[in-house]
Amino acid sequence: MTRLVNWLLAVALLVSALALVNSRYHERRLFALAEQMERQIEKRVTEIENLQVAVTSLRTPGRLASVAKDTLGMVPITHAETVYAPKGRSP
Amino acid sequence: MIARPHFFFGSWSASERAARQAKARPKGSRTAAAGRATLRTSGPQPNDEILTWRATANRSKWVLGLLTLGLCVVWVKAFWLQHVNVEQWQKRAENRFERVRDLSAARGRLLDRNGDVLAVSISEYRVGLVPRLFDVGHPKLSELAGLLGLSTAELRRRVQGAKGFFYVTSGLDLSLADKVRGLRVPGVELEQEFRRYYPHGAAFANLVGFTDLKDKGQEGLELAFDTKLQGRPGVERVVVDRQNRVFDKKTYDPANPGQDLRLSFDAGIQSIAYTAAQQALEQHQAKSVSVVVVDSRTGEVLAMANAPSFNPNERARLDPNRVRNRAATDTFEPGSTLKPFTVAAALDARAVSPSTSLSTEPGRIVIDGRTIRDTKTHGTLTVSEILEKSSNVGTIRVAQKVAPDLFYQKLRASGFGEPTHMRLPAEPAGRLRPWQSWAAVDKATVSFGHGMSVSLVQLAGAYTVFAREGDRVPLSLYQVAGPVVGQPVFTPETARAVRRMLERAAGPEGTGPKARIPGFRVAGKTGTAHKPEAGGYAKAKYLSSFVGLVPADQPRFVIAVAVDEPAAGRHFGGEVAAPVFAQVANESLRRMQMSPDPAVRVVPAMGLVEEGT
Repeated sequence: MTRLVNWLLAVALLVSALALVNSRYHERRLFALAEQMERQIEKRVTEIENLQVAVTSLRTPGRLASVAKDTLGMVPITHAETVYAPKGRSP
Repeated sequence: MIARPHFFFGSWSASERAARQAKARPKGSRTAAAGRATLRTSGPQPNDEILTWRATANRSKWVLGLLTLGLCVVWVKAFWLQHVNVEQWQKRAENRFERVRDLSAARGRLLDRNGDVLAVSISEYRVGLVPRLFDVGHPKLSELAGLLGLSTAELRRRVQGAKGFFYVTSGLDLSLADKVRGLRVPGVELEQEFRRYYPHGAAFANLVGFTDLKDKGQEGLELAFDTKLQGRPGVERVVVDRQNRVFDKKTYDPANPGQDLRLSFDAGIQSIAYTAAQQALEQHQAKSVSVVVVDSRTGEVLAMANAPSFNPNERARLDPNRVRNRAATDTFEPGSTLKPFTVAAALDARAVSPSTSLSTEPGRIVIDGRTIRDTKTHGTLTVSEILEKSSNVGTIRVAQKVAPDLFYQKLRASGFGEPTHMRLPAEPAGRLRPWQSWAAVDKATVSFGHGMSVSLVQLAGAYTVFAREGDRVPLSLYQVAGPVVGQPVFTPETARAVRRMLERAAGPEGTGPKARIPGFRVAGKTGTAHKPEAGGYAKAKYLSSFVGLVPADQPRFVIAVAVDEPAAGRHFGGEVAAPVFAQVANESLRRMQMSPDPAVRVVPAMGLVEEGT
């Protein structure tokens, strides 16, 4: 009886030792993966930020005004061209 | 027969043989046994196997002893490592496998009231080379040089000329940095760095300021809010394997990026103000033009623009004259733009009423031996007309009816003689001597804005008193929610009366008709001051200013304009500064979609209206 128990314990010890090795291996592998993912996130976030900055610098009022004037040939509204519509009425 | 057994295996071979013989004996043939017996008798001794065992027993004790001793040595060593000098050994192990990584923290962004970015930190990479590890014959050398924007020969020359670690280039963006990293050339190191970028360029440049290479604020808002904007870098300790790959994290102290700051400014109005200032600068060949726009309902500063300005994204050479935020840092004698405060003080003290008539004959007045003149003789004027015509003599006569302490107190309450509470860098208090040290002539000169100095921001802030019901709200660089109750300076009646007078001053009979804009009522006051020089006033150097409120019936904006040393012929505030005011006011109101009557809204005449109706 004790012999059987001992055997079982020995087997259990072996299995758990192997499982430990296995889980350590996976831990490290997953850590490396997570690290890689994090770097990718960081990279994307930076990219998004840079694009946002690019958009912001493309739509500064100064640039819009010059594009409207020079490229699109728009002119500022003068008072004579302005109509005042009562609120609530759709123009 | 039996040779001297091997030191270790002797006992084994002897007993083995004995066992084999014991097995063979019952089965074995007689001849073989006899033969063996004869052989044995010719051997050395009959009991030599036991002797051999005895001899080895002794030896095995030695072996056991040695093994135990070895084990003890191992135990002692293990004990030594684990319990004595633990720290030192741990440190050694850590040094070998742990790396400390700095995590850089970005500086916070500056945003305008609508969330538009005024200043942002962009993450970039700097490439450093370790010549000791770098091989100039590396097969990927030309590829690397290409990514770094250098010729192969140049890169080789610089590596060979270098004594130690040096930075080859900086400002690499993320994808380029990844490519460089992907080459895996030894001796190449990448470091993250941040570059400050200002999307709005020159329009905000001298207001926002800039940072130095270490990401610390040097000027403007960057300096004023430096502690809030700065991030705190983090640090982490990681465990690496032999190939420098990270496989575990020991401690982690994340980087705290700086706070984003949302300010009161409106990028659209700032752009309008800057464009107007820039145009006026060129048109009048002035030294500088500054414009300040304040929301009078809340005290929020919407725009603070100065021309000339600079490009904050390319500042190899910085001209200090362009860097300064003149609207906040420079003081000047306000001249006639101060007169409304004199009149308001007199009205408040009930010393005069708007219709009180005063003689300004003969167009000059002598006080303490100093003559003060009007530009032309106006005759008898009411108080209202004095402001409308901007008569110096008339203003002095009004001021003479007010006690100096009261006059001084009203000026202080309006914000003159002390810095605003916006905490902009290098903000001056302005000059306003206490009334106790005033001679009669001092009170007279102060009454029309000479012998004292103000900054344009102070002046704009003070005018909120007239835009409101006589109370002053503190100027703010942050957004302010809802209606604000200010410190009362004048009674509401006085504020309203002065507002009406200012409206006349900007009317067709006043000094500033060019400040008018179609569709809205405008109130404002011109100012033309000779610039003080050593020992007196300069003959042909002027500072022209205009401060106004729009719409006059329901004031929303206070706009202050100062043109320093206009040199293209004209110099009167009504000629030089008032048109700038009109331009800024008109475009700002349109931007805000404000209509002359709150019950109607503004739509362009062409397009939508005709389609819809």
